[in-house]
Amino acid sequence: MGTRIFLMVCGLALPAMAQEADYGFTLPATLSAGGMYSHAWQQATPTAGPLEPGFQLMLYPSIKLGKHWYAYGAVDLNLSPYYPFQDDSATNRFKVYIVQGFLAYNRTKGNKSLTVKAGQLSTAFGSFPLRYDDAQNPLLGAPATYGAPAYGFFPVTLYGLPGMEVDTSFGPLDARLQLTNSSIANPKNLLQNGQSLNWTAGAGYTVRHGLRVGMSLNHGPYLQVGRFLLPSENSSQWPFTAVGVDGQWARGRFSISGEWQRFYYLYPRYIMSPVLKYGYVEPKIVLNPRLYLACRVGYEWFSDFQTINMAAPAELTPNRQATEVALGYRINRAQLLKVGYEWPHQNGVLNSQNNIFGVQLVTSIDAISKAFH
Amino acid sequence: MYRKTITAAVWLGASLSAFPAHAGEIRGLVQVRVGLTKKQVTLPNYQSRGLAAPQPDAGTIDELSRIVVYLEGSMGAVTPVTKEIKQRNRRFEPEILAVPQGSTVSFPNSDPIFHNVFSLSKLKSFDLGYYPMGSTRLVRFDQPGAVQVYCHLHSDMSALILVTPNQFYAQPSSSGAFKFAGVPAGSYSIVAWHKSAGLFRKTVEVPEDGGVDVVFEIPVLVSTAGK
Repeated sequence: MGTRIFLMVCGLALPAMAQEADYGFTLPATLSAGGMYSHAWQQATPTAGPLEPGFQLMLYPSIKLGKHWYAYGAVDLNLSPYYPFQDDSATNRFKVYIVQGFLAYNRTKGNKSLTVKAGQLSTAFGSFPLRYDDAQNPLLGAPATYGAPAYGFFPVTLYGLPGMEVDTSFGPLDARLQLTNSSIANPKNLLQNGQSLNWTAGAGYTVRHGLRVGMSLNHGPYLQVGRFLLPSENSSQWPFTAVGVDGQWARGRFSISGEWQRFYYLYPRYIMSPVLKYGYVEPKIVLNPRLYLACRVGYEWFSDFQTINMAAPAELTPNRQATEVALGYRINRAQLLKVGYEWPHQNGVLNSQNNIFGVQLVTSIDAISKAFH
Repeated sequence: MYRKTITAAVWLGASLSAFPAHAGEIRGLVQVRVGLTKKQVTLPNYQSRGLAAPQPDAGTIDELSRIVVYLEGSMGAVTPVTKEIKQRNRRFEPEILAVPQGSTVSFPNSDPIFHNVFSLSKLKSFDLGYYPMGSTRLVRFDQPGAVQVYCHLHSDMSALILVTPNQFYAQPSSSGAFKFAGVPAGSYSIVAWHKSAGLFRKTVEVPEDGGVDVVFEIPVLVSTAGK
């Protein structure tokens, strides 16, 4: 017996191996598929049907390049319209966006951290871009000011910008500064004309565990020649300025997040430039381990505007409100079924033709990962 | 290193041989021949704002600490216990835990960031919600079986709770040895469960007096001799 045990124990010595790889590749993904039923996009494209199926695949290829360096990607492949904000393109179109693709350096020590990133970056303005993934967003749609690149139509692009960013946190304080090649209201890639330096700064304070308030500022040229700008005009004279305040609170089964934003568009030959203000609040409650209920109530307020050719200020567009509710059911650890309904309305007047009923099945795919020894 | 291993082995061999041969004793050894736990590739948690998120520990993988051994089947009354699974450095500690049915597990948050511990297991589903560092939540496990535990906010965090129907459960010592004393005579299924490799089951016959030895080799090696 003693000999048997001896032989067995001799085989126990395994080389010690670190739990965390310093070098490695990982590829988490989120696949969501669903459909929306609404007559909203028939107003843009009369031939469109009320039912629009779609899907989105978010891939996050990332490489760890040591203790502090890493490369990170976020690629969005979708068949639009997948989100309510894509209702201006009512035909099924396959789109690919590189939302993020950057090289980063990170140092964390105790309650201090510093991250420097360069490449394609998600905007540092506002807080919703942090939960753009369907597995993070408890609802089906996005807040009204976030959306696809559309020259100011959605002031805050969700699809990233080339640039660089420094993020830091020191105890309860956090701050960030981002420089990008173009405006969040008129994003450009590195090959397009009309690029100009824009900056975004943000800061936050964690009042206590679970309660954080933050603010962000964005400023820079956004107009381009041929669209409001004459060839002789300099876009930096008419910048776009955005101010945002955000807050998050969570405790137990309850959480609330919200934002208030103000966007100021300066145009040449305008006596009165338009201002857009937007705010939303988004409460969520976990009803049981499988079921949650979330809601987003948002209000968009548009100022009047006046050009030099107009005798009096005019309404830019009626104020808009939207209420969205969603029920989420966790089928298993990886799959979430969301059923949502949105009531968009203008100046408080409901138009049921624009209501959107949507269903999403979201599947979080465990990361394919490989540690390099 | 080799000398140390031999010394430990001789000591362990002598210790195991010297166990008093009481009736109903199971003496065992768990042997892990190869690395079973994959290294993790965790990026900094930059996709959030606020307090700096802690980095996962770069500590070494101890395969034996990721194993629990237990007997299957009900054997009379059990004494519930209270044990703990911490959320620390974006990991559950320990990652595998055995408790007898009726026991309570505490889930203290030792991180300055939120976690959202949950389980959708049929045996016990729960969602502990958000609670700050220094706070805990208790969950009682009444049904025997396996309960997988995860965090909604950090998808690479997972733990396994094995709720046993009796008092006979153990985590192997650093040498791989374990012992169940006072086991009633009879035939039992004994299970060694590795967090990554899954469960390995053997049948043991516990005599009316004396003991029985059992050895788990993980993973099971299949002999190809003569093929």
